[in-house]
Amino acid sequence: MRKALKKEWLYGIRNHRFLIVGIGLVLLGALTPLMMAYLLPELLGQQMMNLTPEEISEIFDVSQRGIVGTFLADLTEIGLLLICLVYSPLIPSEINEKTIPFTRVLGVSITRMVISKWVIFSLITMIIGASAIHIDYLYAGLIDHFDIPYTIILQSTFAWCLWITWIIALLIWVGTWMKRHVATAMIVFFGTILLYGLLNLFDLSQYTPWGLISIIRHFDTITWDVWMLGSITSGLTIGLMLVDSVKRLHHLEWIRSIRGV
Amino acid sequence: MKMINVRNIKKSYEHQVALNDISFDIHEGKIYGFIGRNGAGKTTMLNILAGLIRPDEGEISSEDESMVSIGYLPEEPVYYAWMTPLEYIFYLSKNECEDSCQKLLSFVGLHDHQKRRIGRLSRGMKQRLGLACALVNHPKLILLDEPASALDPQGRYDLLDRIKLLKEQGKTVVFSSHILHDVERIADEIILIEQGQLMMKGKTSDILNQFSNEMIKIKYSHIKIDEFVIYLQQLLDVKHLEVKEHELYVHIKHHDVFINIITYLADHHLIVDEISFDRPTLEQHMLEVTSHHAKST
Repeated sequence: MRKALKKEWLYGIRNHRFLIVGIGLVLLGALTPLMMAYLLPELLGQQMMNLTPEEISEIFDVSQRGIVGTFLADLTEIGLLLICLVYSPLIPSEINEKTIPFTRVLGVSITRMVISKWVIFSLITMIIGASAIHIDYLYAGLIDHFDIPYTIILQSTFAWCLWITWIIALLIWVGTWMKRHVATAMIVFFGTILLYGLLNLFDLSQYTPWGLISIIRHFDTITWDVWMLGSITSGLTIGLMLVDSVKRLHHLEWIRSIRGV
Repeated sequence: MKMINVRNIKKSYEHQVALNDISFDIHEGKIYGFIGRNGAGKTTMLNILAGLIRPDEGEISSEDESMVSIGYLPEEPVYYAWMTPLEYIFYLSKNECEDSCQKLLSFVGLHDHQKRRIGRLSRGMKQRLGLACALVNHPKLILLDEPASALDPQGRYDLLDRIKLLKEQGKTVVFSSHILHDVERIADEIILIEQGQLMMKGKTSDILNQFSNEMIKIKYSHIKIDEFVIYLQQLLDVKHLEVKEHELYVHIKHHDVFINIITYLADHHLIVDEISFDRPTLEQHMLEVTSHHAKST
């Protein structure tokens, strides 16, 4: 397993996947306070001369709560899109370049490969996301003052981490179906948003990974039963997606082309 | 000892038959040469043996499946271009330490390139790496699809030596090649596939003897050969003659007739410019069989 984990780590590093996601999320975390506190009010002031500074400050909530809330919303939208686009080749590239079947013939386990992808990419993205949330929290606190208890930030970070492990599993699973990375990215991105909307309609989203995200965006305290149900739903769906991904990869007929018979 | 039984394998791709009722056995410790024209079905057969594709019909069985570990070098090996050969071999290895991976890379002639990114290696080097990958977990059965296709003459020569060495270590090697001279040199048994059908299988020596189209070529310039031709036509071991300007081709049934010809020439003081004995190669056999098959279909 260590070898498989190292291989995924090298893939993420040498193909700059972690670097792109890292720069993207950390910049998002660092720029949100800057944009909300200085750049956007300045721009709005220049565009709409009739607005007084007081009216502009009412439009932008530059409190720590307002800035971090906006950032968490961005993290689940712009951040999700970035993660989907950058990580979408995880499985499709291996299918299209036929690296899975040939390494499998040589004894590499598909189960280990899928699990190691999920572990490494979830772990690194969790670290990146957690860092971005903390950068945003600190910067926003320095601009205004620290009005969010740190326990809430820890809770948000944990919920985001749980959500991102779910997203990575979904990327792997959809990748085994679509076999094309752009299609995988788009389906995961829009599918996640659509699913969140649908579950919200039936008031079920609070028990899912997206529901946790919704709660943390509003800095509500997540109750124990919601944590439990959210974690169980996430764990079960992640497990199902990974098991099905392995099964699908095992049963793919690799060489369909007539070329090189 | 029989290692693998291949029985009645059929495989089609979108209504095109790739393999039709192929059956053969693979015995332990032997080298098998798969030959056939482009598109004959060699790669499909190797991919089925490797477990990469499933046959539509038929089965591949082994008396002790747990004992059959496979190493496979595909025709166009694929790698993680961002890894180095050493990292890749180490990743594939089950129980090997880094030192033994380095030794393996030295064995295939990649020691000096072990820390370069695979994406920057030449095609020949990638082919060598493919061989190392096929060998890394000490498989009992090694499948090599056109292993020499990207190698330079020295590399090809080294590869054949390594395949022979593997046989000495008790491994079974199945390889396909268009370079029939190589197959003739090292294969114990030959399997000829043509348009998805098994045309010929057997020991290399038997196959070469089976087509006893041996020929004696005589070049001459200043002699009359009319009487010599009549003499040759009377010989029982001569199948037929081709008389060309200053050249005579004597197709024979048995090479003993060569002595008769030499004796006749000496006794009659006939001085020829050149006399040579041609044994047909595997390539000629294959061309004969495949062209016969093409005509009949």
